[in-house]
Amino acid sequence: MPERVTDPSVLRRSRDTWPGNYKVGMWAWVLHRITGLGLVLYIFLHILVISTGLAGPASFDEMLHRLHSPVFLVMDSVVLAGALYHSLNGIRLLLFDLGIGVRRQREMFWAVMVVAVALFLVAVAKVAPLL
Amino acid sequence: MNRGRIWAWFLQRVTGAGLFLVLGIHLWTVHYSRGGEAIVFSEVSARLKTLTFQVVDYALLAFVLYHGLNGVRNVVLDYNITPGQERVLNWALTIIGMIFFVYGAYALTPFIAG
Repeated sequence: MPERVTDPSVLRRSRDTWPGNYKVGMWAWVLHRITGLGLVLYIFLHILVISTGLAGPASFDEMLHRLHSPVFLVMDSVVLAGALYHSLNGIRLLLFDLGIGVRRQREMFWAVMVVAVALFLVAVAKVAPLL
Repeated sequence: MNRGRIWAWFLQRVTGAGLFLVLGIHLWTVHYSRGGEAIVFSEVSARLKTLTFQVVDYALLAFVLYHGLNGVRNVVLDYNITPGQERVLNWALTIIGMIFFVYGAYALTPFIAG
């Protein structure tokens, strides 16, 4: 049997770190981290794909043709969604650093998310005919 | 709070704001405005022969590597590492960043030449 935790500060901490108790600001932070780490990994893949051009135009065109399938277009949309989330929430964080909107952080979150979703829909509408 | 950390904090904001601009230009012109047609070498090359897109692409490469790798550093620093480990981390990330900047910059040269 594990010993029962009675220390109030520990109890408070475990309650605060349980995802079911996160509020908007905490989810915004967690998602900023997850999308950030995902995007870093993606950047290295992106550089490697572009570097096929070093082997000549034919290699580059062949690689890009292979990546031009519905499966990859859907995966691209996931990357775009992550990039838009990270960018727009990043604008929110920049405004906070400038002293703008800190007391309205929750409303700021939903406001930038409306912009992110709008931009995502514009981009998806552009590539939709290919799916 | 040491000087290095303050500069890193500041540069993370500067590159973040810069990325909003150059990544926006990149995503729209290269990936979305064209309606998702397959990207071909000749088209990328024609664009990269202009000074504007050379500036956009090299700025994008530099900003994205700094912002991404410093972001990784920020995540690791949240786990209370020792000053010695922090030095190793800083050097490792700097070296990774420089290698990918040089390789990425080199990877763009066929498009500028071709």
